[in-house]
Amino acid sequence: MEKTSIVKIQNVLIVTLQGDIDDHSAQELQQEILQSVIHHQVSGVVIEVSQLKLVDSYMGRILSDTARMIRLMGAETLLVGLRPMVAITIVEMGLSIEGVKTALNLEDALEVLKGGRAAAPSLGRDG
Amino acid sequence: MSVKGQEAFTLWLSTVQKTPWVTRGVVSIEETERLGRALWEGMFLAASTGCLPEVLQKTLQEISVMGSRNHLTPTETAQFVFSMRPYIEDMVRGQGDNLFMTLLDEAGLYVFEVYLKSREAVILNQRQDLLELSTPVIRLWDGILAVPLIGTMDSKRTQQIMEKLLNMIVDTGARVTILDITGVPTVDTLVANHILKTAAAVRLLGGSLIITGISPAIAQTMVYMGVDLSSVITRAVMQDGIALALDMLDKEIVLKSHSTAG
Amino acid sequence: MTNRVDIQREPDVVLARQAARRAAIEMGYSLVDQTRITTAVSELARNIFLYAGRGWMEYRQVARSDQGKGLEFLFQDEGPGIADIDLAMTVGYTSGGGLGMGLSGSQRLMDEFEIQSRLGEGTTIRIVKWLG
Repeated sequence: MEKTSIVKIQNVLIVTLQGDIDDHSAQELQQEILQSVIHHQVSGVVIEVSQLKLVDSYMGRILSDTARMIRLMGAETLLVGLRPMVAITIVEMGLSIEGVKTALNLEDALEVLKGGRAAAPSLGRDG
Repeated sequence: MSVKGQEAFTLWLSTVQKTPWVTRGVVSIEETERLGRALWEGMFLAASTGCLPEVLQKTLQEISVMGSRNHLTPTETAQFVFSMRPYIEDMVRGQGDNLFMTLLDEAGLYVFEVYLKSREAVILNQRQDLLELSTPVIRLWDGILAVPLIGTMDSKRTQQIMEKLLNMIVDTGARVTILDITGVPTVDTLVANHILKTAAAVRLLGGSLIITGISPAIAQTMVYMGVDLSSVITRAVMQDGIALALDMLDKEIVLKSHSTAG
Repeated sequence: MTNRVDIQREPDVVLARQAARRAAIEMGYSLVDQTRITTAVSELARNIFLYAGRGWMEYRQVARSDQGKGLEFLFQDEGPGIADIDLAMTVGYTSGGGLGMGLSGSQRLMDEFEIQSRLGEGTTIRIVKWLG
């Protein structure tokens, strides 16, 4: 049931995270996304997380690290579809997912990546 | 029931029927008879076992809840039970009357207790209702939500607002939310912290939060206390917030004459 | 009744949080509380794996007169223990390459948090969320 899909549409990579991902799989996923960014030469990555029931400090770190790595490779990352309960937990824990921009849904995200408009400000102190 | 018992019971009932229970129309005459009988028999059952049996507790609960719902005082409510005393005394004189009176006291206290608990539950419910009532999330425009905060912010309330707002944002796809704090009497570090948390959660979902209603007094306190609100967008009044929100969505309000004349 | 999940391998962390979520759902916790509980459990179960290598989680329903029903989790290991608990609780402090949010983060998500540790003997952490 834990199937993550990576799809390329135009010059955007859409990564859909699913299931209960253990730490090791999260690491592998990071590898896979970075490889795909190079392979498909995309300018944007959308990470869709609406199926994630939990983002703890480890997953939060993987997400923000991945976004920063993608940035170094010259592409932009948008986090999309975080569940309200998960957002609340992240905030209450005091986690800051630094350097990650967010969008409400896929449609919004694609619009932002096309340069249509600004994303929600990036998170964390450096945002 | 013995003949003597039946007599005592009828006499007691006629006393009950002169209490506020009947005079204020809380229960009908038939109803007093049903409850009275259950109570009477329950008490005799209690006397044979030495404690309040479950069936009697049920009756006592029914009496307490009825009394509290119909605005009888705790004393008036418990009167239903205590009014039994003289009639019972007559009946059980000499044969374990002490035990009986102790049990009657216990039953009366039990009524008090349940009465208070049901009152507490009512207050708790009302507080909950009030909390929810006082934090509406309004769909102001396509893509814009507004939350006019009124009253003090504590962590429980912040949590509720956050939950409600975030769910609304996801459901409506609203990209901008205006949080108006005109109705919040004091904004201290704690409240500021709650606001910052809410802003952070909204941003995690991909939305933006504009805080409006920053009065001169609030602005002064913020700066004096060293509260850093620089990571959130703030405006003095709701009107400015709406204008900004529209601007963020690439929308503007135009005079009718303008658009038709043009 | 007490339930137990052994933590020895990385996937056990996932098993621990799944067990926690099931228990929270069963007891009727709200969606937010389910998420809080599961996240805290995930942090503490991972800590066992990261710092002690092996250990276990025990959980059970508890009750207290002033709070009503609750869910209690115990995390135990016989690992190296924590030298300075206050330091370990500091946000951002880590000795194992994590974010340093595990202990402080789970404390914030739960109603009760208690930690006992002895160098060379191991660590026990108890957390509770009241159903309230």
